[in-house]
Amino acid sequence: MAPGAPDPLEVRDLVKHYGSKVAVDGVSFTVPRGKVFCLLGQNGAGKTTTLEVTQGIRKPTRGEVRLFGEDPRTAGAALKRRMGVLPQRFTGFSMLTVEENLRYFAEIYGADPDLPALLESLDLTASRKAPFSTLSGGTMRRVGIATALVHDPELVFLDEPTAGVDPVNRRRLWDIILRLRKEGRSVVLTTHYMDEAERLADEVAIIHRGRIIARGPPDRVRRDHGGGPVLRISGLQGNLPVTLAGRAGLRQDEEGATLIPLLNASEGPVLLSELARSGVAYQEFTVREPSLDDAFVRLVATTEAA
Amino acid sequence: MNLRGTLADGATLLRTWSRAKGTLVVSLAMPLLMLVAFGYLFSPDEPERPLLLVEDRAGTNESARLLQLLEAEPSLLITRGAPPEGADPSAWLREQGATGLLRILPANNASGAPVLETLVDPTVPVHASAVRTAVDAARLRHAGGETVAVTELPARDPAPYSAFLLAGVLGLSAMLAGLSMGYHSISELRHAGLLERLAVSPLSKREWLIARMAATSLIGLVTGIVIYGVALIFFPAPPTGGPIALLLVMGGTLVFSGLGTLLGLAVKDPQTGSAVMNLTLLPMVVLSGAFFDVARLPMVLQWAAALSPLTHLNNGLRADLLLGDASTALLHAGALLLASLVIILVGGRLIRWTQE
Repeated sequence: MAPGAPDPLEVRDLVKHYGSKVAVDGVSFTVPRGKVFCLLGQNGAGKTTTLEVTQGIRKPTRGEVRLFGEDPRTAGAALKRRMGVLPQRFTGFSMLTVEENLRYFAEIYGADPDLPALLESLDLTASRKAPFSTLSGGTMRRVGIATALVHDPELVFLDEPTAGVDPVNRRRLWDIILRLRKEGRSVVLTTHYMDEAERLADEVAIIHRGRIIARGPPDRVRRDHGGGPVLRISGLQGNLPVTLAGRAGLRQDEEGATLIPLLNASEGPVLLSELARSGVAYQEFTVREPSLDDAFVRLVATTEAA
Repeated sequence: MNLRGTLADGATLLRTWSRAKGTLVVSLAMPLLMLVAFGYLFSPDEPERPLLLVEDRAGTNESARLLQLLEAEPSLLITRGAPPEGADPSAWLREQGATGLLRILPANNASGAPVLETLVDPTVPVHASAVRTAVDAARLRHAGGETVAVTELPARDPAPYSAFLLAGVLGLSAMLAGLSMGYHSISELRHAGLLERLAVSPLSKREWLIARMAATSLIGLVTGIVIYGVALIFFPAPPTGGPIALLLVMGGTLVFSGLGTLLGLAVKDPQTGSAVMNLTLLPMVVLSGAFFDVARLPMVLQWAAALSPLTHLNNGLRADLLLGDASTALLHAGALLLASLVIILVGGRLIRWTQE
């Protein structure tokens, strides 16, 4: 990209209504070259709509979108060749093999890719002759990413690329996304996995009910909005005493462990003593610094309360 | 024009069709089953050699010589006979089980050559054609290459059962293959997120529509060739026509695949889709003349029938396969191509990849 060239994606005050429903409400962000930007939010928060409007599939109610300085709604085929897209529900042509699916998209884009190299880079060489319908979920997503990359785009949109994918394949997909950044491509990623955003993104935007409620590098968002340390207790047997059960921000994580927000790290031993006094047993505890997950939960709770 | 993309999209549809067993059954096996069952197993017998009845009203040496030549023709059975006074010649001809009636009339000019008047029953088109050819050949041999006046009476009888069946099966399969390929494949594309993916690709909606319609019409051609081939093998009386009928089948599939595609894109919910499909098909079927003569309907409905692609598909196929009327059949093929063009032009603008 020439010096002074516009950023791959600029979104200003984007609003999108579906009838009376407000799906996106005043969203603004910029994705510079070679960076991974992550839209983080619950299901139905407005991530996919934001992506579809920025890609030009849907018309914004208000606001402005610029893809490489152009309006995606009116730009032609040349602009479409500069971006690659993996939609959330993309599964490819079920009757075609992996290789045939990739060839199809290469032809659509008028590209002549080095298919063996692309297949190799996504660990798909062994599956290249397999019909798409016979692939595992993780392999299907990798094929989806391959179809988004087959024409060598500068900007890649990945809508929940790891949703429903097992942990091993998730990590493989993370490596692929990190490699895209290393190659100098810009990536716009949506996810509701906090660890994914923390691991991959240069910048995250937490979107809730169509509005961005926090934005910045993951570390900063975590630091600014994550609150204090958290006591994590696993294998809890029995009910928490009333004084703890009513504590604001108390919740469970994905593994079923109980997370109790602390005012400071020294409060941990005090709470553990209280549990012991109440006769509540547990298997293990840790005190850890706030995560992006904590920041997300606090931000959503604060927004809801407001 | 994104030619590579358009060709790739069409090729993908063809590949998918060839690998989807269910679609193959619908588009090939069912029409063939109908054709074999109703055309071969239950078809009425047709005579092996056409019977030509000859009425010699001239009674001259010239007419006797002509009769000799005709009797030497191995492809015909010749018998003398004439319809009773006042009888309908066509009805009488059918009662006798004959294909044609040749009247040799006295010469009415200086050349002295007899005037030939033939009445050919087109209900057995191949036999009718054989009679025409044989009479023509005998006449030319007799006249030493001189032209002899021939009057052919207009045919009034219905065409044979097998020709009706073939025209019907070809029309039905073109319509169903086009509609189902167009409509149902959209469900897969939508379910697989491929419509959203295509929305951000350089392939335009119009190019995509052209690719789908062209590929489906090729499928229609393949299906038509197979059905026609089976009719050729199994029917006691091989079908007439052919190339124009196949062109009509292609045109019909082209139009109906376009309509099916637009319908599939417009209606997301399968239940509503089936209802809308019926709502689209039923008036076309009723107005196509399958159930009653459209000429008896009010003028408004006759105009509506003239706008329906199914009317042109059916009428074109009948014109070619039943009457051997190539020019009328081509006119209907032209109407189908025009309708396809309108669908491409208008549909390309109306298509929305995703629904709000």
